[in-house]
Amino acid sequence: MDLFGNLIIGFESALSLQNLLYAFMGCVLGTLIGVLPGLGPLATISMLLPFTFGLDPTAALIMLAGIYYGAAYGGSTTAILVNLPGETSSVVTVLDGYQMARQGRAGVAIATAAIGSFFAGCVGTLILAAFAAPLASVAFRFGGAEYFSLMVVGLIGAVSLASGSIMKAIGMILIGVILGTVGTDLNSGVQRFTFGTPNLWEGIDFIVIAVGLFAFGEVIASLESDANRETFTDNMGRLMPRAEDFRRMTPAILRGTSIGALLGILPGAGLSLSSFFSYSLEKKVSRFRGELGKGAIEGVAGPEAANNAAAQTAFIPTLTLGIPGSPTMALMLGAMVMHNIQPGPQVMTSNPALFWGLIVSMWIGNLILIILNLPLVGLWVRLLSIPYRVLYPAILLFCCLGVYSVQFSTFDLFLAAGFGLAGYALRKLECEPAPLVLGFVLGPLLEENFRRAMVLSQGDYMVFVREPISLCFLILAAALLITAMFPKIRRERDAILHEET
Amino acid sequence: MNRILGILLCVGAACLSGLASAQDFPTKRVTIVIPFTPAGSNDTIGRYLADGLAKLWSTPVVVENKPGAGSAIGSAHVAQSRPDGYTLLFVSGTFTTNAATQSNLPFDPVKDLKPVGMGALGQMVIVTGSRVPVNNLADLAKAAKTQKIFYGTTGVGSSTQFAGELLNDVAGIKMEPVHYKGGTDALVDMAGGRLDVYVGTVTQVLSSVASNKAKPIAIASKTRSKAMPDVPTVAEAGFAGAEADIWWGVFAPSGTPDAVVTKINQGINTVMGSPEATEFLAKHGAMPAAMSVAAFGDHVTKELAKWRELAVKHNIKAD
Repeated sequence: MDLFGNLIIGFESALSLQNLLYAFMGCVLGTLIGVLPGLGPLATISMLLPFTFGLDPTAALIMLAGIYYGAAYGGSTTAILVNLPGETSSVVTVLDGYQMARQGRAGVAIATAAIGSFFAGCVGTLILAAFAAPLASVAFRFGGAEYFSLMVVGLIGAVSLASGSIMKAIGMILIGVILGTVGTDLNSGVQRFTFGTPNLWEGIDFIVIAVGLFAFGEVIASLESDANRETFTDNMGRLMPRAEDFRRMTPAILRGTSIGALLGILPGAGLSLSSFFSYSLEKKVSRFRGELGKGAIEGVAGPEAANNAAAQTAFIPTLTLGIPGSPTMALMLGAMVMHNIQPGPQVMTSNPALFWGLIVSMWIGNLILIILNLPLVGLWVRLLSIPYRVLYPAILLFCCLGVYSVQFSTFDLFLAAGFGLAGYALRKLECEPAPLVLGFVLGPLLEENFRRAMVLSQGDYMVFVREPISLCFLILAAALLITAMFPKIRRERDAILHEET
Repeated sequence: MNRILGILLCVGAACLSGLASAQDFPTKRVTIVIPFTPAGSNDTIGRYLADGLAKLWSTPVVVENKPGAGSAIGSAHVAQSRPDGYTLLFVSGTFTTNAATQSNLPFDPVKDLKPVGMGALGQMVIVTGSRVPVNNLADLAKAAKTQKIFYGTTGVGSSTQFAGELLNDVAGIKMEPVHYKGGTDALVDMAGGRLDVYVGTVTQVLSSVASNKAKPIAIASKTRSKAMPDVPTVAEAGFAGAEADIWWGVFAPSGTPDAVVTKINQGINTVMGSPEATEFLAKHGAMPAAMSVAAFGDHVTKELAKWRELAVKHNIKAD
């Protein structure tokens, strides 16, 4: 009842012509900038933030939320078309999305991402509207021990990102973890692997690694084989998914949405973990898991849905507690403070038009985006028919802009170039970069939370099994490990499953 | 011969232009380097100052973000710039805490840079979580003698750690640091009942305090905070000496003529002393704190010595 009344307040506020217009503008701007390689939502919002200062607070936040989703949509388009993840969560979209594009199914992949995101966005908005306050307390239950055990699950699951050799995948994860330790150690203040240059004191940025390994590596590799490229551009295929595609994407989207909505609530790690977890889940339970990594539609639908559901529920800690779940959320919070709104539980009561208006406008934003994006699919796909002697230099240019915009540092550009060569070498060695990136993201979180849990428990290792949530994750991790360690069990299970189907 | 004459002429011209710039500084674009990424309090306050100075001097004042290595990269850049007042550094108090913990800085914070003026002052507040049910600083100090108390920091050698260690020193207690990537992570742990104490900026803890997830027990400053007028200062609570203000100030390459430095100092004090500036700063949990060149220089020297002593005593190192 209450929810209904609140949503009406929200619709009244969000459906004003002015706010609708700002939501639309935000979506368009976000998509346009997010589609540029190397520029993810974080860079997009920080660039466009000043544009919103002159607006009234509700309109400003609505526009920012539009930019946020728009950039996320744009980011998946880049991931699918040019093999470049603009943020952590689209590393997974690259795996199957780019393979689909190579098979001439780029349009279907982009449309699937949009449909999955829209559905997840709707569910996420409903959850946000109905359970924001009670769910907020879940975030508090996650301390060092819980996060540590969650990261263990994530790292073990990372093996599933590889479609080739398991040993190579483990190697890649470990290299990623080591790269993640570069910089000043949080706990001791010791500088690790900085080789005496202050440029590395703060570690390596995600964009540097992603652009280097994926985009630069791809461009170098494309130089040696243009035969491959011909098939890519000539055959654009269908733009819209077929009935068969819909049948296959539906369960993946449902699974992705649930996992994303749950993980999004956790400040810090949730958003980036959601798509990885969804992919791992698909790899375990999907009927078509054998095709994952080779252009399966589930590999795009699940993670994209998870990512967008998490993006919605990530607003829960931000709006209700004033605790940002990600750097992007921190920027949104900063924007609220700039407009004299103190985030926290009181926002709901003191400023209901803003709170519910924002929530409703998130849903409207998702609707605008799907209306905007489905017709644009053809346009984006046509970008691929640009001769690559024109397309690739342009991609390189935008990537360099994206890398430079992170720290305004030319050192980062050289570093990304270095990773480009490394990415090419890894490609030749048939080592996949996705597990490396996951190791890079999760490794430092694992270490940080492990050490924090140890300090707070005064060196008692039992803390990880004493905390119930942590224990559950560790049991899950052990189960995953056992199924991975004993391929025999897996083979038998696969055989049983095949008999059933 | 001609070359020597040429060099002499150039040197002469440089001296003359130096004199000229001392009188009618600035005659061209001034660059303020902010050694942090755009957005965030350092950048926002620095840009406000740059806009104000541009209007005051009717000269373009541009902001250049040179982030990296916890402000060291931007600071080193200014330290190596031409000492004419046209390249300035806008940096926070981390300038002095970093100097205390990092022995391998790519510049000398005392010899290479000259203090010009104070931009603004921000206040820190000591908050406690539900695990230590105390209402004031004296109770916290008492509790800390019988049980293990953990305080959150935003990294080794951060201003939050120094504020915590300073409280340890003044109260004669031994709270143990727990390091977090950012203050919000520490506040989540505090809300979850895992962390006892955090000393953070007033702005940062405000929403946690509003939702009763953190209890403010003392302001680590000489005056009370406008945002939390009921909370006593550390001195009022009986722990004078535990003040750990955060601040933002302007530095110039050493060798910048004194007359130019004085002119910039007056400019900063005019811009940041206006009623609009006070209102603007209040939004970011800060307030104006005008100082003369000498007073600011004194402030920086004292801060450097204070943090260095504390760093040595508690073995806080970040290199």
